[in-house]
Amino acid sequence: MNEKLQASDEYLGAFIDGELDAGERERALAALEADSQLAQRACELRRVKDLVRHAYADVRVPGGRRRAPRARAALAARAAVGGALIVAGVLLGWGLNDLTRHVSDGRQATVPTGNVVIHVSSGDIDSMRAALDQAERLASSTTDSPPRVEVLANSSGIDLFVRGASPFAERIERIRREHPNVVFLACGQTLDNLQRRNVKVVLLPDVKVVSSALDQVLLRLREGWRYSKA
Amino acid sequence: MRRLLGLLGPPRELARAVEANRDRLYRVAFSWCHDGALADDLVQEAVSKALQNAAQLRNVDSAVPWLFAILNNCWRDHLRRRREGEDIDAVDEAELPLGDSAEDDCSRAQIAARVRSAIAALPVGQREVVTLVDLEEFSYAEVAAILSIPVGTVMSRLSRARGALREALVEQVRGESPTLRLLRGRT
Repeated sequence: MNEKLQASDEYLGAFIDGELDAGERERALAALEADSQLAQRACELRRVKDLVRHAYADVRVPGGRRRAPRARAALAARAAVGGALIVAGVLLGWGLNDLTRHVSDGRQATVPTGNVVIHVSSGDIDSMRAALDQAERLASSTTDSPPRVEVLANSSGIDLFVRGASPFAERIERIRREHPNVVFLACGQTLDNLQRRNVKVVLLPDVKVVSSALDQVLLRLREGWRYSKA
Repeated sequence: MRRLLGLLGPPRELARAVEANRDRLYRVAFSWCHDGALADDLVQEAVSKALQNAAQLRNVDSAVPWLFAILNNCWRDHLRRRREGEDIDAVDEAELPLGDSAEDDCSRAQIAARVRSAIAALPVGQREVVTLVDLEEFSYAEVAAILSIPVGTVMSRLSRARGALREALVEQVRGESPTLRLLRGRT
């Protein structure tokens, strides 16, 4: 075996990371047994690895969703049915609505609903306008049952809903009046972050707060909504 | 219209992968930037991008490294926006605040803070590699794919990162290390 290579920290790292194949591993172990200095270095690297891991072991999504176990079980059950169906849905879109409904008959599989969550995460005025355009277009569709639409803002997109900062306050109020099927949602996480930085924020009337934008998007996707990024 | 693509159906498989890996994505983002709010933004942005580009994901099995690759792109974009024109691989982040309250003063929290601070001081490229390997236990090949760098570069960055950490944390690394036992005992 190549002594120089064996002695390198890269090689020792590969050893402690389990990246060596069985034969290499055997040779490395033999070398470590024969050379206490080498063993000491491997040991130190191992400790560094442990320290890194432990330093972040407690890091979790702040206030992240903690769904009830039952919801998880239901989701898993649905997953079992879902595979092919979901792929088909993704590939072919809405033409398959009836078919999937039929296939998943009685199995509670989520079926595309036509509802849409529109996500605004940028403070860019064109993105905001595009989101509202899309929401209005969808909400005024002439079908029997117009889809439900959620306009969801987080990050710098939150400005859309902030009194004094929103360039579209009046338009939002009008949409709310004319289209009860459109809902405006602000990300609670973003609001928390602003509060922590002592930024005072007052939301427009009729804007509701959800725990986090990501939670909301995932929830709606599970329920068969469509996702659209403005 | 490009946006219509997003209307072709919710990629629920992907949503599931996101849910299952959300804490991991957040933890890695946090270990890169050491800023909870920014980590949250990065994860949300990454997920949003992933959902928009779900069609690029040919194989659901590769969803996890793919998500981390997108997260890395978002993080790199952020750095680029913040420091236009600097070589981000050489940027030193030692000045990052490490606001871990830990009133309970137990040395465990102090050690964790010291380790985080040492990691924050690593050049970005090394920090990314060492956190992906040590926190999330990705293989070298996966890390290479996530960061779009050769495996050899993964190994050399990892080795340099660990060398620097060993220097910075010499007390914790040498000898009996009761602190490490303490850390271990807690998880």
